[in-house]
Order: sequence, then C-alpha cells, then structure tokens
Amino acid sequence: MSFRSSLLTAFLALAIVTPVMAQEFPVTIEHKFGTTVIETKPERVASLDYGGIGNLLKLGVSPVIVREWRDKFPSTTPPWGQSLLTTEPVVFTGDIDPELVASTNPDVIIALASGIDEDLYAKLSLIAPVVAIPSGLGDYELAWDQRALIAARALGAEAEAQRQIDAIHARFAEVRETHPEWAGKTAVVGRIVEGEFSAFNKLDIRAKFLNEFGFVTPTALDDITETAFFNLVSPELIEPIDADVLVWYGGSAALQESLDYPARPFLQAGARGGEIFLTDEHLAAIARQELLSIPVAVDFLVPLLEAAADGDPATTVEGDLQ
Amino acid sequence: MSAPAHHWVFRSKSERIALRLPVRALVALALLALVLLLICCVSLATGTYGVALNEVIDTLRGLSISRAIDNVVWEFRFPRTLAAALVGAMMALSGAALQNTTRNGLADPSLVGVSQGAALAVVTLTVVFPDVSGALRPWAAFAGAILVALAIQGLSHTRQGGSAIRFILMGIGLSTFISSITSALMTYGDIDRAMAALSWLAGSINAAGWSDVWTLGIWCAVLLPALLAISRSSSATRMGEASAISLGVRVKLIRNLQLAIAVALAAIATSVVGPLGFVGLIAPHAARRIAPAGIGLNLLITAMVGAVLVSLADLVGRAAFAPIQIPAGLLTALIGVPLFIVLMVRSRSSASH
Repeated sequence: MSFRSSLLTAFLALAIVTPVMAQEFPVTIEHKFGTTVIETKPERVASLDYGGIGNLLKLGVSPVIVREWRDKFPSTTPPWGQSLLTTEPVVFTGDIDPELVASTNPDVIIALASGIDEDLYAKLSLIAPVVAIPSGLGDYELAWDQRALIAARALGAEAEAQRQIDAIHARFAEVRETHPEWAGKTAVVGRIVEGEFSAFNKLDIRAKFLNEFGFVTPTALDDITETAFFNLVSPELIEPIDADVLVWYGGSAALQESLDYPARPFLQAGARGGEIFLTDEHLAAIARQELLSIPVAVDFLVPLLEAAADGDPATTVEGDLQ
Repeated sequence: MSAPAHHWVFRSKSERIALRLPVRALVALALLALVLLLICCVSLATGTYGVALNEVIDTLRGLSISRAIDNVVWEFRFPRTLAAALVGAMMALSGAALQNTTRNGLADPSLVGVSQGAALAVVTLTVVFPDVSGALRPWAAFAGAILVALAIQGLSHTRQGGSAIRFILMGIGLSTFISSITSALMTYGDIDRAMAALSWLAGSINAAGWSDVWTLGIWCAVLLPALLAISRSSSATRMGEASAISLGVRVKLIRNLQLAIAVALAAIATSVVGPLGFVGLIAPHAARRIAPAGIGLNLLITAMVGAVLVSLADLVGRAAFAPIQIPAGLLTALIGVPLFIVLMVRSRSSASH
C-alpha cells in the first residue's frame, strides 16, 4: 500500500514538475544515425551547418566553430547579428575536418544542415554529442522551424525557440491578413545560371517563404519536376517564369546579367513594375532561413512586395538594386 | 648464397625458390619504404589539433594522455594515413597492371574511364538509391568499372587486333562520356544527395575511417599476391602475343586475369576515396625510372611509389592550407596532368625517330 501510494506521489510530482522543467538535462535526441544524449547544458557549441549561426545567436549562444556560408559575412554573421556575437568562432571552408572540430573543444556539435554521413557522424561523436537530422529526411531538407527547434532542444532553449517560431508564424499571418490581395498571385524567385533562368519551384524554401504571404508559384513551373527544388528554364519558354512578381535572386554580381536576360522584355512582371532586384544583404536574409534573419527578411520584403505586386509600373520598387 | 656485384641471389634448399634480384632495386624499395614511413610519421604528427610530437609518440606507444588526443591520433589521423598509403598503392598497381595488359604506357584507370565507371556506379547508388547501405559501394564500383573496361576492350578491338592508341582514345572518349552522365545525374538529381556525392568525387580521404582501412587492406592483401603470382606469365606477354604463346603462357587467361585485377584494384580504391587521378599513370613510369627490375620487384616499387605519392598529396592537401582542406584527388591531378603531357610528348618524339 505504502509503496503504491509513494509511486503515485512520485508520478504526480513528475507530472507537475515536467512542464516547468521541460528543459532539464540530460536531453535525448533521436535522429537518423541513432540517439544522442546531451548530459548537461552545453557551453561550447560547434555548428557544422551551412548558414547555421543565426538560430544559435538568436537563442543567446555564440558558437566556437562555424562553416563558411555563401554570403561570406565575417564569422558568417550577418550585420544585423553582429551584436549578438560574443565569441570569435573558427570559420572552416569545404570538407569537415573532425580534428579541427576537436581543436575547438565543443560540448555539443550541431549538424542539422551539414551533409554528414554515418562515418563522419561516428567520428564526430567521439568528440562530443552530435545533433543530426531526423530519419527519413535528405541532408538539407529539414524545415527551418524544425531545424531551429531541434538545435534549441540541444542547447536547453526549446521553449524560447518555440516562442520565437510562433512569433514568426504570427507575423506571416498578420502580413497575409493585411494583404488579402496577394493570395493566389503568382511570384517567381530565380537567377541566371550559365545563361539559363534557374527558378525555384514550390519545393524550395524561398518559394515557400513567399507562399507564407499568399503568393504561389506558377503551375507551369511546378509541373516541370517533382523532385528537384529548382528548374533551369530555357529563355524560349517564358510560361513557367511569367508571374505577377519576379524576384531576381542573383544579387549585385548578377545584376547586369539579369537585366540583359533575353526573355526579360517578354515577361509581364517587367511591364507591370513587378520586378524586385534583391541587394546582397536582402538576399542573404532570405537565404538564411533562421530565427535571426526571417524577421529581418519579412521587414524589408513586405514593402518591396507591396510596390511590386500592385500591378502599377508607376510605383517604383524602393530598396532594390535598380 | 652468392652475391655478384649488382644482383642478390637467393636459393632455397633444393632450389624450390630461386631469386636473382638487382641490388639497386632492392635498395630503392627499402628507401621508398623509409620515405613512406617518414611521411606517415609527419602525417601523424601534423594537423589542425595541436598535439606535440612527444605526445603523439606516447599515444602511439599506448599511453593515453587525454581522450581528445587519443581520438585525434587513433581515430582521425591513423586511419586516414593508412588509407592514403593503401589507396595510393592500389591505384599504382592498377595502373601498372593496366599498362601491362594493354601494352600501353599511357593506360591509367582514371584516364581510360575505369575510375569514372566506378564513380558513376557509386554516384548512381548515392543519388538514386540513397537508402542502400554503404557496404554495397565497393561492389557497385567494381561492377561499374568492369563494365567500362569490357566496353573499351570490345570497342578498341578490331579484326587486326587491339591497337594501343585506339584503346587510349576509346578510353578517353568513354571516360568523358561517363563523366558527363555523372554530372547530369548530379545536376538533375536531388541536390542533397548530389552534395554528398560531390566531396567524394573530388577524391577526398578526409572521411576515411578504420572500416575503410580494413576494406582496403583486405582487398590489397588478396589482389597484390594475385598480381605477383601471375607476374612471371604477364611479363612474357609484354614481349608480344606470339612470343608469349611460344613460351607456354596462356595469354588470354593471363590478360583477362590481369585486367580483372587492375579493375578491381581501381574500383575498390575509388569506392572508398573517390577517383584519384593519374597515380596509376605516374607510379609505374616512376618505378621503372628509379630502378630497373624484374616485373615482380617492379610491381612492389610501383606500389610503394603510389603510396608515397598519395600520402604526400593528402598530407599537403590537409596541412598546407589549413584550415582549408584540399582533396588529395585535386593534388594528384595537379601533378599528374603536366606529367602526362611530358610522357605524351616524349613518347611521340621517340616514336618519330
């Protein structure tokens, strides 16, 4: 009897305590290579991800090692995140060198968009617990909110991450409500790659981002493929990229090439003033799908979209490269 | 045992085994082994994780200084160093066997498409069937490599017999063809999986672990003796088919065996680290130039040269520009291509005389 009652008490205690102490360590994370247990709240965090620093910084963690990202910001940190950076992380390029990771003496290794395989996972696990992607997903397929949430769990900041994710979703909803006219309008994000227009279809994060505001990709674009997230579109074929809004994703380096694109005069977006030429910083904010940069991207993109999607060539799109 | 000036002669009891070995080649082999050992030592002591030399030595003697240093030396540096040496030896032997079989000094597994065949098979496996286990890689690589080898053999063989230049041209054409299929697969396949295949395609030894070392070691232990066992017969085929047959060599069998071993060596090495270019081309030539020897000893020197080359390429690639890691495959190609041109030019000028 006394045993049963004490068990009941223990159960009740657990039931009461659990929600409050949700982030008590050890934390167990299941992933495609097995199970990782993080015993104590990590101090030194290694990030092997492409563009991985923004989630950590926004959760108050400054990493010890990061991977070079295409926007080449110092310490891979965008200007709007520099004030959050309190460490001088090692920045590595190319292949992951386990020895280099070991030299930074991390307590936990975040690898949620890193492309590590089973062998590398095994090697890295000798250094510190490795947080990998859930099973059933491709190497870079983890959605931005899940990616932030899993990283946050490992860092003991799950509740804070969830709060920020909810805030971002609320912001999306707010934009949708204030701009009902955007629902169902078509938008294409793309750039010129070796003379052909490379357009991101509905599977891509950039297209999904615009979809949060109500824009959709042209069905002619989505119909081209069902697996790849981008399509190379011949200049002779404009239907897949002929949309209400056309977001040129090349940045300053590709501006001239974008302006000279042979099919450009035939696209309706140009005639209606529906083109947006992203600056390098804006492009970086969109490319980094992370807690730090999504709010920044929403803030600058909404006014640009307002000017571009009104169908009036007279309203100029402020803040773009042109 | 008698020892003439330039040869070392060994006769076992009742002369079941009798060897007459050129001293210069033996000395060269020993020196190369020493150089390889030296590179391996430097490789074990070099890296981005700061470990003092005496700490490395202590760790190797079995004294554990710290868990981190144990990991760095035993799990990161040691398998990688061994894998580099083994891959180098295998690619070199593959090149030597290929050059013997085809009687063509320009044959190289990465030049005539054998490596590319293996690469295509592995990339297909990675991109199209990502759920298939990595253990199948060597077999897929072998299947891809042997198919390409058979295709080149078949295509370059005319009624007048196979011509050497035809073989090379077919090989270069086919390897380009296969490479373009591989890039098409990478472009139009799922980008994630293509990314995974990409670093492997550059010929990186970075990720090699103990399981890779075992795979390489076991296959090396099987294929090297096999190659040595048929070396006497295959050396006779170098004198031409007619002479070899008159010496009692089963030419067709030996040629096919040698081709199979060459393909297997290249395929296994490729499956682990990706296509490492030009080692198979350079090593046999270098071995011949370093010390002339009979085919058996020559094969051993070739293997050693290959091991030294790739170990050095890997060491330079990871240490020279650290923390940027340059795949060994890029460095071997960087050394290999100019050397290939020199060999081409020389062979042309000697042919015109």
